[in-house]
Amino acid sequence: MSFLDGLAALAPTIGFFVLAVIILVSAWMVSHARRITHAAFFMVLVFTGVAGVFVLLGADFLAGGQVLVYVGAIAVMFLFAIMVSDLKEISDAETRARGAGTGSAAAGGTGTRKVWFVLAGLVTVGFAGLVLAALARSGLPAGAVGAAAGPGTTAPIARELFTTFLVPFELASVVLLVAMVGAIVLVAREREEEVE
Amino acid sequence: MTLLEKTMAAAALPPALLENIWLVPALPLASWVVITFFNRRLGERAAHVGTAAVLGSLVLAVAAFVGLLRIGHPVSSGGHWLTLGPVELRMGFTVDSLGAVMLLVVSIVSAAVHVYSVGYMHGDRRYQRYFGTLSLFTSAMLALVLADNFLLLLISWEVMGLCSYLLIGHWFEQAWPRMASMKAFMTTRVGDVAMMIGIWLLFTQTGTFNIADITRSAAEGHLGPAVITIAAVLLFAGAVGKSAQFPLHVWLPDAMAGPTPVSALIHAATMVAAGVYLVARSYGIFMHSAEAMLTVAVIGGFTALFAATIATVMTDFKKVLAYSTVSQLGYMMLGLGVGGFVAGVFHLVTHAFFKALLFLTSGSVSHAVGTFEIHEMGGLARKMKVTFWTFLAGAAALAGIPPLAGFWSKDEILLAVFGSGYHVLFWMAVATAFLTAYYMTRLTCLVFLGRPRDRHRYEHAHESPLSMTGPLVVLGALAVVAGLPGSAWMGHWLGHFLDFGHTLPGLSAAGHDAAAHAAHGAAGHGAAALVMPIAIGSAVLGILVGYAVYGLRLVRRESLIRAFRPIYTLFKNKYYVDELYQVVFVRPSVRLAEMCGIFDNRVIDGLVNGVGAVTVETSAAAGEFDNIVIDGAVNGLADGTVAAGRQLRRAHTGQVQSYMVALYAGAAVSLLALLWFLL
Amino acid sequence: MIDLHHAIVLGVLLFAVGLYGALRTTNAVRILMCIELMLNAVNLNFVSFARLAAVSGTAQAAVPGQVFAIFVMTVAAAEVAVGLAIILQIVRQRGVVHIDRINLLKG
Repeated sequence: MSFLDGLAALAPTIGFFVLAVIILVSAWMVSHARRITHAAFFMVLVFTGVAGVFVLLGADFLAGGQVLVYVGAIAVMFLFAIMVSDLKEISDAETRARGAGTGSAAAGGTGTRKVWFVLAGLVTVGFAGLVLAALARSGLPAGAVGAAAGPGTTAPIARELFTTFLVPFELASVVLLVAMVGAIVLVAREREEEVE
Repeated sequence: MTLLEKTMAAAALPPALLENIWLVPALPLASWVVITFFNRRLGERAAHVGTAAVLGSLVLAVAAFVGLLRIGHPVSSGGHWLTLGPVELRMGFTVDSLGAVMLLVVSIVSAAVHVYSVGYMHGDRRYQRYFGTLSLFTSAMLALVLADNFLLLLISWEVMGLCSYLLIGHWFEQAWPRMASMKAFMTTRVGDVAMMIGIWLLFTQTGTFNIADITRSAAEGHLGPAVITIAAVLLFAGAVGKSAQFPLHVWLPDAMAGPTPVSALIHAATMVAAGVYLVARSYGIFMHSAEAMLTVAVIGGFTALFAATIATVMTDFKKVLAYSTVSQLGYMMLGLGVGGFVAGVFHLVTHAFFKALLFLTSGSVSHAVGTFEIHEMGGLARKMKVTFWTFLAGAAALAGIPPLAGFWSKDEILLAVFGSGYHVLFWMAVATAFLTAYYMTRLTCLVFLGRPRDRHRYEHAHESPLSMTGPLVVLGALAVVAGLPGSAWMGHWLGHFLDFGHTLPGLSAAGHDAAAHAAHGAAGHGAAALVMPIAIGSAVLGILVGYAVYGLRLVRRESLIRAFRPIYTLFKNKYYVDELYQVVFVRPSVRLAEMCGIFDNRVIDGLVNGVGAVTVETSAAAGEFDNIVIDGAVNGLADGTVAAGRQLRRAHTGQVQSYMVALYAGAAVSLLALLWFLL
Repeated sequence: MIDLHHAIVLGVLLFAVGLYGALRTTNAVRILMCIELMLNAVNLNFVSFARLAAVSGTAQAAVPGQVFAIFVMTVAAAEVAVGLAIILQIVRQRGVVHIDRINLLKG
């Protein structure tokens, strides 16, 4: 009984670490998976994992939003884009050609690419390390932030969104509209030319 | 509505307008937005939108001016913008007498230029873009003169810089405008950086960007003398860049690559005047530092004489006017620097009218004969009556012939300089007045009088359409009468007006206006009696000499050139300043760019090609350097700009990711600095 | 218990992985995906700090941070839509998705 109680108390922590591992491994695979379609599926996994962490952090509305927007819309958009055009073949073919060592246009040679990878890695590690160091030095308060069942966040968020953040909210919708129109204009141009 | 109610409504109008003065810059801004978004649909109608907006601004500006006259005190409006930690930033506008006068000048000149452009730019490929940018420029300039804080002033300042860049490079298909636009942008940037540091310094010392507040704390002695001097000199550096003062004057003559109406509006009447305006606006800071004032006066005086000498030998219509502009802006700076606040601002106002007029006539002439080369003109007075007479009014105003506009303001400046006791500066100013009269006479004779030197061009010459001559006539009339409000005939009304507005809390209290003192004091009458004949005399002498050489041809031009060969060459090559910059700034930066390029190549190519390439690059660069030195630095800055671009573009690999690496490496370095210094 | 530090570190690591991915690959679509990962990392931080505010204060205090995350999501969606459209258009016209081949503007 007491063991089970302990386990139940530990469950969020364990869940967090499991999710963290899933997120990081999948994120790594997004850039390293052989095929672009696989990368897209790993991306979905990252999004879902982050949604799980949101739940653990008591942001239930956001977790729902995350699943809807990222998994439901953005990831699907990626997959559609990959499938509708021949992106898949082009990118896979090019990746293979690249791996065979024909070299890329600008980087020139596999040796250069290795140098580039090292440089990119150094910058990334340096940046992340410095951010962590800055956080450590800035005296971030340690505090348990695990899930504590409370009232849902949907209602408070809605209240704030439609009062305090009304103007940004409306602007965001305009941004979305503009993006939508822009995307349609960009993609539809070719068909227009065909009609002519 | 009864008469009483009507009167009361009319009386309520000015405060309402003055509190909503943002409308004035908002109108052209809206026009810019409309033109940008409905570019194709508007077509030629873009010009109507732009012109209507500016005319609207003009009406509002006049109303605001009248309103301010009635109310008699400055009106501020604005509100909270942003909270940065403990500091609350406010954005707002102020209409005071200085602002109102400038508002009037800017909107009048801008309206004239808009109308003129309708005819001048007709059939241009980027007609809409031209009017859109012109609107944006007008809006920025109007916002600048109304800004009550350095932040808004800086924003407008930079927007104007951008518009200037776009408009100089309007015909970017050709190499010259493209280069000129870059040169203008880069050169002014040098001053802008100093100015930003100056504003930041004032902000850290006073905790506010509000100009009136800063002026007040300067007057109350909250700022150390060193701070005031440094800040004032830094601000002045910005003004030096924008107003094309020595040593940052090199961009303005090249800026003539833009369309002529743009030269008239931006590079003669308004934007370049923004530097002078900045000094005038922050006069409350400058006047507490004798060193800063002296710097302003010396740079101004030197520039005035320096540019005037170059103007005497230029053979391009617009280049003569361009150097004349540099010279006159120096005059204004000189006036401000010796304590003649009213004199400097007065000259700013009158100069805006007649210099815009002169540029527009140059456009009208080139429209008719298809060139700006004055040695291919001549005798055009017979063909272009309106252009000639308006040009004559402008030229006489610039030369300082009483009672035209330029005479009164120039006289005020000379009086102020005389009163300050700096004799060298005074005689420099007199020499400049002489040279000004001389080169304007030379220009008049070569372009409009005498025999036509190019038969073919002369035959094709014709008067410009009404949309071009109309603005000329309006500006010509202003060139004649604009000096009167500040003249002795109207009791120095402008001076009193600028005073009552309490533009400068410190100034009205201290009342250290040398010009006002010199003009009103008992000793002042003596000074005026001495200075005025000198001013008139130098102008008349300049005209006589110019007419003798170019009108009556008493001396042959060639023999004059032969007699003064060394000086002529020096003037003709603009004192080799461009060449000096080529050697001192451009070439090292090219070398630096080369080094960057080499570094970049080595990172990307690995070390394989590196060493060989470095050797080749270095020897090639050395060889190139040799060639350039031997050739003399004849081709000047243009070559350097090309070379710099060619080398610098290597840093632009075209690879998004290398930019991204640079971005994050930069962020990492900033973090490191943060860790090091702050945490 | 989940400590704030854990969540923040997870966010930083996710950001780093995304950044490294965006730097190492030349496939434009993949770069876009990696940018999404970075945006997610940012959201994670927002929510963590919001949570911190909520734990030490009232539940209401968590709201602004979460609202910010919502805005980030909006921008992300817009960015993906436009970004993918641009990539599709480039692919149609030039048959290339690798950004090292997309360098017409290089001087």
